[in-house]
Amino acid sequence: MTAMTLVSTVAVGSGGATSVDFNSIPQTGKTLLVLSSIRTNDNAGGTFLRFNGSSANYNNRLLQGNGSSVISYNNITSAVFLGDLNNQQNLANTFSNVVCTIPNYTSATAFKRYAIESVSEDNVNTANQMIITGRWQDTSAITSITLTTQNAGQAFVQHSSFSLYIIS
Amino acid sequence: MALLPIASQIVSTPVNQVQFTSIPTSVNGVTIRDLLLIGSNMTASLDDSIRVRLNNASSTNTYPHLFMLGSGSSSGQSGSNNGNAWFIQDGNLATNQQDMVVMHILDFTQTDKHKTALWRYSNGFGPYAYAARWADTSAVVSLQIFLNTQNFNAGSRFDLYGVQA
Repeated sequence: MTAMTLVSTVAVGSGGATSVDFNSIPQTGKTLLVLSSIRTNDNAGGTFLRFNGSSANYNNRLLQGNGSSVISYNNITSAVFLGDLNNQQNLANTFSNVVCTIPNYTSATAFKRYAIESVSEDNVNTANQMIITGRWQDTSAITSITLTTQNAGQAFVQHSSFSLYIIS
Repeated sequence: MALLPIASQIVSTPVNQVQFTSIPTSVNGVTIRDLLLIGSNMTASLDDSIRVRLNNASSTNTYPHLFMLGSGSSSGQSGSNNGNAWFIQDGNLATNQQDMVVMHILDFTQTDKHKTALWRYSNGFGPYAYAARWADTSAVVSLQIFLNTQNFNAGSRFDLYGVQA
């Protein structure tokens, strides 16, 4: 019996997707794991994730290296920030990898911490490796996850994929 | 990667140390090679530093580690060769911050190598990324997670998994 169970996989089709949703997340596990391969049609690569449709009470802190320098900065409070990922400015057919871990997701008494590792690279533009941590200051159990691009109306392109796992 | 649950511990009354003992080498007949520890909702009544030992070993200079971190305004890195435990976050466990850690200990059953670990730590100060070694070829049979002087608050949670070989 494995502790890691696939809940759902979304593979974006030819029309693209302005959002990716995981609804009615089973409350039977201990930790959520979101594994993604992402490319957007935006001119900027910011990619967001929200819990239960909430757009408030997040804090994100990044450690980012690009091969020549490293920086750290705070980011938005309206969503989980997955990083500045591959977009239409990047070499064709290149996608970003993202791993997002959310433990204790069923708790109804604790705020929800998360940890993210992501990378944007195409051997043409500046590559970025990001380690992001943060906290959603909401005690609600997480029952849904929504991923969107930075700018409204922009989309995840075909062949982007998102897989949600429960670790029990 | 197949993850197999070994044990979970949720602190019910404040306690200085959480321990996983008699760590198996297989789960339900499936041989495991690495360990994955997920700590979540970790809080303490007062600031303190969290440490990890393997097999309760406390010899000095046997837990070298290095890390990098981002504070939101600056980045940094450091390391130590002279510890008697892994400091899994270099600063202090801020009270009521619901800290989390995801720690991967590789090849824990092997007796032909020192043990290495990678972990990510998240708290109110920022992301930490660590790499560490336990300078001992013994197989890991127990894991101790403890605070220097304070106690973990009730609700602090630790889940241990085996990674299938």
